[in-house]
Amino acid sequence: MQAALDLIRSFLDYGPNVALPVIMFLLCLILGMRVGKAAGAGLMLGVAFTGIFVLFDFAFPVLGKAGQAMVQRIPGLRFQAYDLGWTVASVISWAWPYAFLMFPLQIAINIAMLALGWTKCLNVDMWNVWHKATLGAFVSALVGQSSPALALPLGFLVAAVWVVAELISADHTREQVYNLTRIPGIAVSHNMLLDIMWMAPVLDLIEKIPGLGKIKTSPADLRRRIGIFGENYVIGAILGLIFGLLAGYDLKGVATLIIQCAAVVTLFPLLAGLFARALAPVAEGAQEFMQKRFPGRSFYIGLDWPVLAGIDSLWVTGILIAPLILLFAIILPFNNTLPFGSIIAVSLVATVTVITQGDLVKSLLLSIIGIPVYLGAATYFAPYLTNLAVATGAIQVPEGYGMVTWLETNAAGMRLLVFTILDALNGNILPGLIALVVLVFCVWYYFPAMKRRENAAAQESGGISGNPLPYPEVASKAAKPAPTD
Amino acid sequence: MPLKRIIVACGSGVATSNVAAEKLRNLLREQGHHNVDVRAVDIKSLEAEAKVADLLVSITPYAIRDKELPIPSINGIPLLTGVGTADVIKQIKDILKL
Repeated sequence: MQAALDLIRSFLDYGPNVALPVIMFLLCLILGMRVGKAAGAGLMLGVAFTGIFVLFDFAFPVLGKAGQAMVQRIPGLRFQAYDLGWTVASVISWAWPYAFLMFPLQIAINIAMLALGWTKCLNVDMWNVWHKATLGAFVSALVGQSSPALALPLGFLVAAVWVVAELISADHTREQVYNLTRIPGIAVSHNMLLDIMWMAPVLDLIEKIPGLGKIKTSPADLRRRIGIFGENYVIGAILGLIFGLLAGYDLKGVATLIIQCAAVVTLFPLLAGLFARALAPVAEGAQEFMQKRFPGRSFYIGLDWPVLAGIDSLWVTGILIAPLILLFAIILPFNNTLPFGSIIAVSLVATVTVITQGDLVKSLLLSIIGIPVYLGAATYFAPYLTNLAVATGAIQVPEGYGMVTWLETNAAGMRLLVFTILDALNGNILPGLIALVVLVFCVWYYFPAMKRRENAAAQESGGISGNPLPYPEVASKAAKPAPTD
Repeated sequence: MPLKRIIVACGSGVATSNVAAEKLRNLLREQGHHNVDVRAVDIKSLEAEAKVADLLVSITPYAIRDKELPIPSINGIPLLTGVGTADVIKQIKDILKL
């Protein structure tokens, strides 16, 4: 037994780019795949991992050098962490030794909740299992500081709570998603939408501003005008130019940085796409497993956020707030993250798009309020992500440049609250209590607010199943009566 | 027969589009259609990508942009939900004359 454990341990020491493909291969065999196909999926995972390593080795010093030059040149700048985008964060999270256990955790909880009638959402989005891995790993790291015995159990507990919350969130946003997309039978079960819990009261305040509803905008027109400026390589080039100027580089330096940044921003998604391809068989196997368990039952399918990606106001908001993210990063005293890879903060603007129902003016206002929260989360989680990368050997973070992080920490506000609460275990009692009060208020506010917004969305669309009033119990508060025809 | 090129777009060209593309590849291969190239792309680059493709399998079938492209588009949501995939394949075969 000991010999077997030693063998496994020494094998894991080879590093994730060797160990993970083998785990993947075995997982595919368990899922009933042919040997050849399983080996292909495993190899592809190794290829994707290696590709991300190579690009990271190139990208991190480029960004780190520019960031340090900026900090030395401009007093008041504090950049210590570099946003390399969610693709890098997801790759690092898979290197956490328990990451793959998040698949069965998510599936088991979902099946139990469906069977008990606690949700109507069958979440088939197996890609975003990685978010639960980051939570598990980070909570373990946080709690492990003072209570090592609690570290792993609490890590899994928070991940489990997240799975439950995602399903409840999908249940309470599906009319709003339907009104935007008019795709029946689906919901968005992505954890980014959990931030609606703090956004709901804020948006209610914003909507009290007189005259707000009268401003007419045409997001589709704006989107067309933005055109090529919305593409990754152009955004990367613009950032390269700004960083080069702030860093005081000479002409050659600036020109080089423009090309390097454009290349990095373009290449990370391409390489991460290989990752998605390698994980696709696992995702598909899990999906089939779940759908077989509930034949003919009335549920809807929980999907990843890109079903929203055709909404013009989402991209217009994302591009319009990008300069503000950079500006806030420079002036906010608590921020030390240099925004780069997720300067188009999809997880922020897609969430805002759902709750504002694609209203550009409201989306902009709510997103601007969200920027400090997202920068705060990126700064807060930078040591966690960097330590995980170093501990697992996922990525060699070169010394002396700082930390790696990602700005698109999904549900940034909710994560910060949960971590502040758990930090009470390490003796930080007062902030923990304040965070707990805020969290309780957000949850208490969430349900009636969502029912009201779901009713409003259903009234506009006619309702997913032809019922324009899914929550009649809150209808008395609505100003407009339901149409009778 | 010339190679037919299908693109599947999502918000980043990373996750959802690749999951749908991989499923589509497998379904087409199972039916013996080896002459089709399926690629996942970033929706932000859709205009450029559409110039070198024959069909868009869209996971944002409500978007007006889909209809402004020079190529036909069909609803690819069934590839994600697993409900109605046979119909997607039939539509693809009809449009690409496979």
